[in-house]
Amino acid sequence: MTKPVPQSNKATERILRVLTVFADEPRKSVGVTELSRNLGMTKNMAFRALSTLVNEGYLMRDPGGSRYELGYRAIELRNADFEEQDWPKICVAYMRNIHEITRETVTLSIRAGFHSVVIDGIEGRQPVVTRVLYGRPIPLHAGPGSRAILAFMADEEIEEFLAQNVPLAQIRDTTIVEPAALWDEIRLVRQRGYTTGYRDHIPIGSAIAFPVLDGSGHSVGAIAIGTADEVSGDARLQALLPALRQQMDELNGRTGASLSTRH
Amino acid sequence: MHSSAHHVFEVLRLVCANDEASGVTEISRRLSLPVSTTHRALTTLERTGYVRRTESAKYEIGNNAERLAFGLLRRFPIREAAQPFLRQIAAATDGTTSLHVRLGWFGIRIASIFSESDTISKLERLGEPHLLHQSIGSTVLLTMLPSGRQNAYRAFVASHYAQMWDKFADETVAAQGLEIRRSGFAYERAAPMHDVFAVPVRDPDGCAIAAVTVQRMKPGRAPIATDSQLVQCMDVVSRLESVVRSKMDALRDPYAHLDPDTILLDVKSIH
Repeated sequence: MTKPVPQSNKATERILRVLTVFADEPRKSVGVTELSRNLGMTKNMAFRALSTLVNEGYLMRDPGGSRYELGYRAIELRNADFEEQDWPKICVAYMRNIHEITRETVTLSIRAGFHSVVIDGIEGRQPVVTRVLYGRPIPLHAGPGSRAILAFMADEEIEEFLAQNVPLAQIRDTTIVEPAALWDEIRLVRQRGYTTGYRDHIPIGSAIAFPVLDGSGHSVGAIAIGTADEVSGDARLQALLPALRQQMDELNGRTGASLSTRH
Repeated sequence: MHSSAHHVFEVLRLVCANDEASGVTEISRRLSLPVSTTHRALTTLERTGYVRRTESAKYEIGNNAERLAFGLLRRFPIREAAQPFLRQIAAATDGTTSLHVRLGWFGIRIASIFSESDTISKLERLGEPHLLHQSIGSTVLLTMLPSGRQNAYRAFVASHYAQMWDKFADETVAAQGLEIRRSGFAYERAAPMHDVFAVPVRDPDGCAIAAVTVQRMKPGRAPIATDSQLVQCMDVVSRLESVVRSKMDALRDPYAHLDPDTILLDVKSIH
């Protein structure tokens, strides 16, 4: 006999969603009005959820008494493996998931000065795939992985990159070398959340890349998905975007939580 | 009291406390809850990212739970302010360099920088609360408190955790207190090839707002007082102290306004 699928408890789900707000910005205190507005619930619902969380010890009232902050009992929500996180290690599981979703080559790059360097990767399962080329420094303006890192650096750091590297190397015909055009590209990438391949570094295939972010929303690296399929590769990757975004949002939630400072 | 929410939190705490992923039946049995209630709680927790279902249909801690625990560590502003200093110490000593703070009457390791050496030491788990006298880093915090506050701590332990205090604890705390006041550090040789020293990070009033510990797998041969790595560590800590002095308001303990006697946490006995 099969058991019926258990129902989730909607009221408690709401309470947990209220608690999650404090995971995103643990140092902030939050008031009932802004909480109810941000989560789309009535003030009464928000107030009841907050009261339950205060009773359970996960939230507390701030010293002023009118707003809410993360309570010390949150420390119990960890297990034996809880440790300072090596962010490239956190990425590995998500790279595997992305590889399962796309069956294409997935690479992890980190920023090294004014370059990006591939430090890990899984090659695709298609008959022809793009390769993982470890350790080769790539300028931050060329290639989707590099551009994903560049776009999510702080503005002043981008200015510094430009100041020290203009004129930018024209690696391929499609490499963006004009600073104004590169700023347009940066704004587009920030708006979309990912870069696409222009064959501006490797002259074949197609790719998209997402930044890996620290707690302040700045890039520490990038995960790129590359396909050698020039005919339908782009369309396939675009179709998989929602699933890829979901993986990257979860990954960035984890790296963001542990990387509070620039590394 | 929202009782169904309370069951959900009970289930969450148990999943977090278990070292291995656990199944619905086991969780129900341990909490004396009906299987259907447990199942419903786990579904709620899974949908909100607080637990994760493994391939063998067991449950383990989820992302949002860990993010909250990290969130708690990040609430201590000294964690971020100390990072560059901890990195310097780790590079100079080749030891696991950690930062400890006080939460009520408990000590917690809130940050660590692991050295490049091939072995590392994780004596205390990140974020695991223990009583202040139970580890060298937090004993430093205890012994730098005014004596009235130290007595309040002893009274707290006597009334809530009496089995975790004995004559040996008395002697250790007294000896380390003397050593810290005389020489500015505490030292323990845990094993022939493993030692640890602890240095307080003092505020302008002379109280320790944090402690830095360095655990070394290859201790130096010199007597500890002249050990060059300890000297470098104390030098870096004194630079951290000048940052603390200049930004005291921004670096305040976020739980300082709570009465420490009201903060009760589960502790495991170390050693």
